[in-house]
Amino acid sequence: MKAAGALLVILSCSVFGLSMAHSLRKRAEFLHSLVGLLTVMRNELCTSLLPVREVLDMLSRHGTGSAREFFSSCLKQLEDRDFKTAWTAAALGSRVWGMDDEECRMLAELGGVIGRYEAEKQRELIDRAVEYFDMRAKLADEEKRRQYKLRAALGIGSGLMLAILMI
Amino acid sequence: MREKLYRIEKRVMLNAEEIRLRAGSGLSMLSAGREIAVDVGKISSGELADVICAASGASIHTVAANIREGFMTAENGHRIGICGTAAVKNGEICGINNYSSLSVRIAKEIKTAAEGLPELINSSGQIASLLIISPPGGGKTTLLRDLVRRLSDNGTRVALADERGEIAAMKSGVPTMDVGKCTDVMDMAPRAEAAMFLLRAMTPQIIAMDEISSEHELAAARSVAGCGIAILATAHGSAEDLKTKKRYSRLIEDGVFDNIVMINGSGSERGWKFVRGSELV
Repeated sequence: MKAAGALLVILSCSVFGLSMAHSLRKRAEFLHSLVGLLTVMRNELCTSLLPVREVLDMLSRHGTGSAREFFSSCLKQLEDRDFKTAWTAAALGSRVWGMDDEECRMLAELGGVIGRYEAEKQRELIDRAVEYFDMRAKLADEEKRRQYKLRAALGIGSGLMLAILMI
Repeated sequence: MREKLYRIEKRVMLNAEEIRLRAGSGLSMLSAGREIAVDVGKISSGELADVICAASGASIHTVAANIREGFMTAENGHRIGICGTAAVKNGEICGINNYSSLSVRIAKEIKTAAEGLPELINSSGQIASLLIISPPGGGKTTLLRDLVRRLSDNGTRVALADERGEIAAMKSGVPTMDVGKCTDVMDMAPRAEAAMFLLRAMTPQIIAMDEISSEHELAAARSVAGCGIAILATAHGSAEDLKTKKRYSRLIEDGVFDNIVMINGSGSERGWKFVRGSELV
């Protein structure tokens, strides 16, 4: 009985540690993919002069990486609300990808820019956002490199410690 | 803004030909040539900007070039005239800030508009050119659209140079207005260039274009006619202009247009007069 309990403790602590480590990977992957898709969006809006809805449709169909979910959520919400509200709601929903409050706010602010200005002004403001998220993606990579193994090891280690204490 | 518009009675909305919005003032409807004020409270310049943004499908960048010219075309062909503080660079308007007035001209598809007009195709299959003349807001575009539809549905290849996107109201490459089964549309391009493009690319039997006025556009009409292609076109003016304005009378004298339709009156009193070019020369 004790052995089974100990095994359960080890397993649950390990799962917790690994999921904490995985969230770092998920966040970095989302930020990289967001940078890529925002760059595509900028090109389609400012060079090809495509309407916002068409660009969202394109990104949610053919975009790569987890940020595709963000664009597809925005497109879905656009059915019954205006663009800025839909974009903001999708941006705030990006917390599930590990984005922090400041990143969500920066992404939401883009909703007041996209489609509201002439192409060159939009290019300038989207570029600024791309630069910001690129910097955050690099920091997320660094954090992942430093903490991934640590978090996983802490999870498994604390599980083992608890198990030993229990026995 | 949307909520303010929802307050307007449906009956009033249905009769409206134009909606006018003025910042600091309010909203009025144009019906049968009369402007009727509708009480929806004061409208701000920001609300006018929201209307433009919504009408462009949250894509101002797609209509920026048109806004610099003072108008944009919304989905379904509704034309929005724009007024405000102009930003000028090197003597040219490069943008409009602080919108002050909008005039939304409601596009109407009337499939009986061209009913009663004589046939433009004779028994030997020859197609006659036609110029539609009327003052602004007279219904030229509606008549042109219906003529295009009728000719096209009868199997005539019509090429449509739709510079403002009001005739066919294209959406993702598909016309949202009925312009017939055999119509090829080039929209949002300068009409003179579009006409020459269509002439080369689509081998049409008729080229249709709205509101020709500049020398460049009249020269394009002349070139098209010179290639043996019939033209359907509209122009601002009155019956008097046909006699006094040389630019139009010369086109008729030179046989670019075989027939003229002059629209007069407005609202329910609107009517048209068909005249053979030969009667005017």
